[in-house]
Amino acid sequence: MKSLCIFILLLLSLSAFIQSPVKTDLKSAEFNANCSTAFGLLDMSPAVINSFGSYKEVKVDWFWKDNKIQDNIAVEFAPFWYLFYNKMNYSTFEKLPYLLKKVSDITFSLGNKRISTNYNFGLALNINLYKQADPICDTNLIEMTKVKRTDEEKAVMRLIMKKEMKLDFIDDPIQKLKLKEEISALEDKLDIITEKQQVANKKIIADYKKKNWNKIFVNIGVGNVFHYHLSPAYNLTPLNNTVVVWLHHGYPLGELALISILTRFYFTQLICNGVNVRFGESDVKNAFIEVLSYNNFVDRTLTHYDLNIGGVTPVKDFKISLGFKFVFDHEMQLKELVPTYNFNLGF
Amino acid sequence: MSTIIKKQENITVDNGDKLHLVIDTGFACSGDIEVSYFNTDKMEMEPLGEFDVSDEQRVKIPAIKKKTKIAVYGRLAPLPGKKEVRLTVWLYDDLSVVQAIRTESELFSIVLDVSVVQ
Repeated sequence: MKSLCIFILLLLSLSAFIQSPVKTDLKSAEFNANCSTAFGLLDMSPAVINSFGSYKEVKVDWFWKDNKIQDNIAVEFAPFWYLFYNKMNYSTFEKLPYLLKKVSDITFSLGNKRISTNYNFGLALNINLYKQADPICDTNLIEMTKVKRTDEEKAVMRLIMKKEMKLDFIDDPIQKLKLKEEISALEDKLDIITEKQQVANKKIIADYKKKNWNKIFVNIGVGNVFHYHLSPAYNLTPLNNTVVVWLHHGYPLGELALISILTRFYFTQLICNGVNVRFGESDVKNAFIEVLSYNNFVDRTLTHYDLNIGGVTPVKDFKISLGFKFVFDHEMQLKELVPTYNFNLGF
Repeated sequence: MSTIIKKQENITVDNGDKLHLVIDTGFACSGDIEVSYFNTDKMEMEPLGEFDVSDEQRVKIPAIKKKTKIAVYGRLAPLPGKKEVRLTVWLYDDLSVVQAIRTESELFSIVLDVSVVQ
């Protein structure tokens, strides 16, 4: 089972690489979850409660804690986006009803967690019900970042094309060389003209992200955690499994903070309530503190508390989360202190 | 070094009377583009139109006797939420696709060197 999972993860990563078209300098305005939902479910991220995330590409997470490098990998992707929306024109998407737009936001994630000789395998489906700021549905933002060529840009480009087309019909090498030089000079001029709007677009997107990273959102989800003794490669039947459902919502605290609340029901009679506060300038550059309590909801006993403190920062295409996990027992006695790390790569 | 990426394709068609282009970006980018063709009688480039590629565009090509050049050019920008740009141009001979060319550059030009089989 484990080999199968790793194979699927590698296959997905590979397909993402193969499908990935050439990236441009303009970065995505999409808000990204810091860690895959499956990792949150497996308690495998420095912060269990993430910012809202609506990642429509493929994302791979690698997590380790306690300074031990292990094969803890997760993948998250938006299946409906890939199947139905990715090739749709924007104007078609724009006309879709709200619910169909929301379907594009559904993400599926799977992750693997190894604890000594035990393995947990998590599957998670995350559904966004509402987000106050959604770049892909924001018609003002779309309009502002649309290509608007100036008359000067159009004139220069037309001139380049005219000269390019004439090139094949000229036999005189001196005339041909002269024409090529003229084209080259015009291309340099075109670059200078277009750079202005490209820089302006970058600024619009950066400002949008800065202004909107902590807006209101509501997510629900369902997941399943399978527990294996030894590697699932040897025995596909799990020892047991736990179905989990959750409600996750967040609200802005001023311009620089986001408070998000998580309520998670485990069908093993456990309920997790958590509050996370993030301070920072974007969803990928912030510091967080969160408290989670785990209670048995049948006999109403507290099992333990977690306190997670850390931060997230981008390093080139990666996002790195670092944190410390403090585990307290029901009498608030510190039982464990573990450093945690997560690398996250979106394609 | 210019950032404009140029592509040129030599294409042969059986019939030059019913050619048209289909231009589409999918859910990737916005774009302001132009389509022109080279009138070999006048030895001049003539415009066929300017297009916003938020929607799929269809462009009819004037009948070609022997050969011509068709140019698709302009600028693309990723939609917020997308990292990449892509635009595909399909050349149709009546109902069947003769050739498809894709660009993934913000500043681009695609030139189709079309010849008719005599």
